[in-house]
Amino acid sequence: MPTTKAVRLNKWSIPAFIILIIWAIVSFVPIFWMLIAAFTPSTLLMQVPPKISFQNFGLENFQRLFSQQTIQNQIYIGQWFLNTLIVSISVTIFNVFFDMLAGFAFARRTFPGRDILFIILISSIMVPGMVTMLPLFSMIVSLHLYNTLWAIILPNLSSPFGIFLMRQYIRSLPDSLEDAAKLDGASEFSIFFRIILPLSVPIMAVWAIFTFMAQWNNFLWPLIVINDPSKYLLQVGLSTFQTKYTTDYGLTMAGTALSAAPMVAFFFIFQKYLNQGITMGDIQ
Amino acid sequence: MHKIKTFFKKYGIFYLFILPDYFFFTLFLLVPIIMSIFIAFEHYSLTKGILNSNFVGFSNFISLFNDPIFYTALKNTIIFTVVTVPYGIIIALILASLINSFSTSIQSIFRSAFYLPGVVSGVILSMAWIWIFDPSTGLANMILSFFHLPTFYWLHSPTTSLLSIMLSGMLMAPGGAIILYLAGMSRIPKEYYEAAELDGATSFQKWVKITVPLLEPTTLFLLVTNTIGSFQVFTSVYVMTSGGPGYSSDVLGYDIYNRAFNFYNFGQASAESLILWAFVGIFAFFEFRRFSKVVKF
Repeated sequence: MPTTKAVRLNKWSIPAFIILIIWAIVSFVPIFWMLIAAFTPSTLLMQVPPKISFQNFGLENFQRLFSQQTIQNQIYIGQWFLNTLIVSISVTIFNVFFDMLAGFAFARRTFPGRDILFIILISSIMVPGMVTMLPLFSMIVSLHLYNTLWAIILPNLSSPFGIFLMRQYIRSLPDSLEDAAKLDGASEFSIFFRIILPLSVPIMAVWAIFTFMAQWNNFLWPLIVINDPSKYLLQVGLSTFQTKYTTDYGLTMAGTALSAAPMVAFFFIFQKYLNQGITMGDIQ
Repeated sequence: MHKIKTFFKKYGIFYLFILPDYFFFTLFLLVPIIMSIFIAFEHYSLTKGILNSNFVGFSNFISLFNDPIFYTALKNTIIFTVVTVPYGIIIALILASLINSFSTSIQSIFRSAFYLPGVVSGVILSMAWIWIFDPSTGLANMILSFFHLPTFYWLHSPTTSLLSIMLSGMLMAPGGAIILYLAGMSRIPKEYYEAAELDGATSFQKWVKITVPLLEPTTLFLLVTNTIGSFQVFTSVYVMTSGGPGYSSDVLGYDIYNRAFNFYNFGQASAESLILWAFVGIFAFFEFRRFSKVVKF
């Protein structure tokens, strides 16, 4: 029968479709509810039951977010955005570049101790972050980096998993590309920068996007090493709303909606790479 | 001397390539791993540092084992993991199978719809859930009372606090796992299904006998990574309940944080982190063992 997969509907297609739609809707409930609260004045939200209707939608909560009164309460949301951006961008750039350098050497060159160095690197992936957190904290304190953005940037500059990904990818590139350059007597650095790096743009893009998103959403470590509200990263700053504005859900949700927006935009722009990236993780 | 010179001439450049990464890796990961073992056996004080703090033997471990809070945290962590990890994997497998039966354009729409909530941070989602779980103005009780069902205090009651946190995670579709399963399904050769159809197999039989067994590597990967993640659950507990009311929703990840940064007991916290590591190691080991017996390629 010359039927394509696209039109192969059967009696299960309709129930399957309905189940998927319901699940998708349920998954979106927190985000949807957050947006509703963000645009509804807090006084209406505090009524029992909350008075929610589209006619009352407005930007009042967002205005309050940047008002003098909120700033006196040490809510510096603009500054937190900036701090998060500085940390995420610098971590992403250096992490991708360093992982590429190491990935290249591990994938393409033989040198004494290479395999053991790589195994040490890879086995560290199995160590829970909770184990290194406390010693790292005491190290940061003794290096006088506590309460600085360096405390977040420096420990994130290398990633064993990133090296692993880069190595796998570079290994799959054909050897012949390098051979011509070698005959011309090109140095290792020029082989790396002129041949390997341009060919690895896809994997670098994937890893850059994941690193950036992970850094943007990172919470525990920035929570521990930053104490000064003006130096908070976005996620840590948001979590302080809870103690300062316990039941002011309008203001809280305006803050979270604003902070989620860049990641949602990011998702739509880089969807293709995200898809690739997730599936790369399990090819071992 | 000459030998060293030629060695560096030949290989030096490669060590230079791995140097930046290995420097930060050693300083910020390898050294802390070793230090954590020292701290766990010390009456650690930040001002004295690791080398000058008093060595106390196993006393940090002993006081943990005599602390009912530690057992609450351990029990909650195990409940959390044993319920949410298999649940997430089964749901991902079912949803991915359903998605896979549609055309590629519908597939990509669902794939995005299920993955999108996952890019929003844990802090943000947890804060949205706090509002949903609000006993008087929250959506959860609004829905329940609409259907004349009993309402709950959710995060505010010791009997439901942990369950509420688990529920908030379980109602979100496991987007990443769905994408992994879909990728796995696209790698299964079509001939297998055609052969089964010739034998008169039903859709369900094909799913049980072909799809599920051939996806075992993906299942194993998800099981191990999600177990490691679940054992360290922190953000949702910190934001939604801070382990409360009382210690009813305390988990190991939060307990370690709490001991270290609220009670300044780094020694006990470090000992607890080593126990966490041991649990993760044991779980991962058995999952690998179990599956390497089942999966044969």
